[in-house]
Amino acid sequence: MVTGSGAGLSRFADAGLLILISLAEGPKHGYAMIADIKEVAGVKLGPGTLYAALSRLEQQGLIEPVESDDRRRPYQLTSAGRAELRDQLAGMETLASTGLQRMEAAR
Amino acid sequence: MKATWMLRLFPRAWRARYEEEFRALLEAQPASAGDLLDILMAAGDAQLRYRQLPPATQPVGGYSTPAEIDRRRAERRVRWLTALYANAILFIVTSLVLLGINALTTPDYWWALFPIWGWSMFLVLHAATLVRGHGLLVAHLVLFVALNEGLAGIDFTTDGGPWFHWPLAATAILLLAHALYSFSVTGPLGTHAILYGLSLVLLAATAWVNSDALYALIHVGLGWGVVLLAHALMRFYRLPLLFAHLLVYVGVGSLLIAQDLLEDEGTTWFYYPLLAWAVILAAHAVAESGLIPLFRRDWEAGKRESLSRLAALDGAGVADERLPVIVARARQLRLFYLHAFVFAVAATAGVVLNLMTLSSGPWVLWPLWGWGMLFAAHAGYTFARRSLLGAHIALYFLVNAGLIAIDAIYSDGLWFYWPLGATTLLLLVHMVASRDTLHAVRAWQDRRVEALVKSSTDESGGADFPVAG
Repeated sequence: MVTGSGAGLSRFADAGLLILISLAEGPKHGYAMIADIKEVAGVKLGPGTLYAALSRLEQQGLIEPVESDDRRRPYQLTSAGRAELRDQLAGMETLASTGLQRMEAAR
Repeated sequence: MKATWMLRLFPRAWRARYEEEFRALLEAQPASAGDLLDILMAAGDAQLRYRQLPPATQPVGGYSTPAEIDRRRAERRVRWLTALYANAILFIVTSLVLLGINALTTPDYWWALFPIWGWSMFLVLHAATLVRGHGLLVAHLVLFVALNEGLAGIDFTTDGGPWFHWPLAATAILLLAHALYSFSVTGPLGTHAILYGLSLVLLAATAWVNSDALYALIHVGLGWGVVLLAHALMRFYRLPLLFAHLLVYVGVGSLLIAQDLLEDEGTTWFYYPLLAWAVILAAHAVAESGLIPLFRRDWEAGKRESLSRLAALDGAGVADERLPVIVARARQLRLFYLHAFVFAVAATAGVVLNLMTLSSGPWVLWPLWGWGMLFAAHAGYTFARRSLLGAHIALYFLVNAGLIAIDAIYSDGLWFYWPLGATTLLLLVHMVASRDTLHAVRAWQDRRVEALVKSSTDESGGADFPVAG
C-alpha cells in the first residue's frame, strides 16, 4: 500500500517515482530526465509517458516548473514532492530489507 | 521521423500548458515506432483527464470574468436558436415534400401526417427549451396539446368507439401535477399525493366502464400506496432513502406474491421481478454504505479540488469567478457517473431476468436500446466539445441499429432504408451546418450575441439563460 498523495499516481506510478528520483539531485528538463533515468535505472521513458507523468506530478503539487527562457522547461521538486519521495523510498527500503532477511533465514 | 504532428491529438488545454516544451523534446531526438505508440497512449490519457475540465476552461486562459461567462452563455443560446430555425425550415420543407408525394401517390391515405406529427412535437420541445422561466412546463403544455390532438385525430378517423378521452385525462393529470409543482403550489410530497389521488379516480372511472380495470385499480392503489407511504415517512419521520426503498420492496413484493398465488394458472413467476429488483436494492445498499467514493458526499469536493488544480495548469490560474464553473462541472460529472452506475446495475438486473426467461426471447434488448440512446446523448453532452453534433451522431447509429434489428427480426418486407436515408440526410445537413461554412449565419449569430450580452449587462445581476450547461 502506497502512502501519501502519491497513492493516485496509477499506471504512471513507476515513471512518477523515477522522475522524482531524477529531480532529487536538482532541476532538470525533459530530455535530461530521460537520459538520467536511462543511466540510473536502465529504463528508457518514452516522451509521452514522461509528460503524462510530469503533468500528474505537477497537478498533485509534487513538482513545479522553474522559470526559464529556454523552450525546454526545467522542473524541480516541491517540498511536498521531497516528502513524498522520502516516504516512498523509506517504504521500499523496509520492504527490501524484510525480503532480504527472509531469504537469509530460509537459507 | 518527426512526431510533432501528433501534438494535434492532445486536448487544447493540455497544449496550452505543455505544447512548447513537449515540441522541444520531440525535436531533440528522432521518434521510433515505439515512441509514436507511447505518444498516442499519452494523448489518450490527456484526453481522458482534460475532458473532465469544464469546456469553458478549454481555450487558453479560459474565461475568468462574469462578463465572459455571460458571453459564452449568449453564444450557446444563439447556437441553439440557430439550430431551432434550421430545424423549423427543414421541417416545413420536408412536410411539403411528403405531402406532395402523398397527394400524388396515395391520395386516399394521408400517411404523411404521422411523421409530420411526430417531428412537430420534437420541434416544440426544441423551441420550449428557449423559453425563460417555466420553459419545461410550456414544453409539457404544448406536447400535451399536440399529443392529444393527434390521438383524437386517429380516434375519429378510425373505427371503434371514442377512446381519446382516456389518454387525455391521464396526460391532463400529469400536466396539472407539473403545473402545481412548477408554481410551488405543492411540494414534492403534495404533488405526489395529488398524482396518486387523481390517478386512482381515473382508474376507478375506467373500472366503472370496464370491470377488467378493477384489477389495475387494486394493484395501483396498493402498490403505489406503499410508495406514497414511504415518501411520507421520509418527509415526516426522516426515514432514510434505503429503508424507504426496502419498505417499498417488501410491500410491493408481498403484493406480487399474493397476486401470483391467487392466480390459478399453475405458473409461478413472482421471483423473477423480485430477484431483479433485489439486484437493484443491493446496489442501492452498496451505494449508501459509502464503500464507493462516488456516492460519498465528499466526492464532489475532491473532484472540485482536482479540477481546480488541473485548470490552474493552463497558466491563467483559478480566479474566484471561475470557481462556479468548476463547481457546476463537478456536479455534472458526478451526475453522469451516477447515471452510468444506475444504467449498468439496471442492465445487469435486466439481463439476469432475461436469462431466466429465455423462452420469451431477448426482450431486454428493447429497454437497453432506449435507455442506451439516452445514455449516449448524456455522454455526448458531458464530454464532447461540440456536444450537439456528437450526441446526434451517437443517436443516429443507435436509432438505425435498433430499427435495422427490428426490421430484420419482425418484418417480412424491408423498410429500414427509409428511416436510414432520412436520418442520414438530416445528419449530413447537421454536419455541413456545423462546419461553420455559413458565413451569413455566423454574422447573424454574432449580432445576436452582441445584443444578448448588451441586454444582460443592462439588467442587474447578469443574464439568466435557460439553456443549461
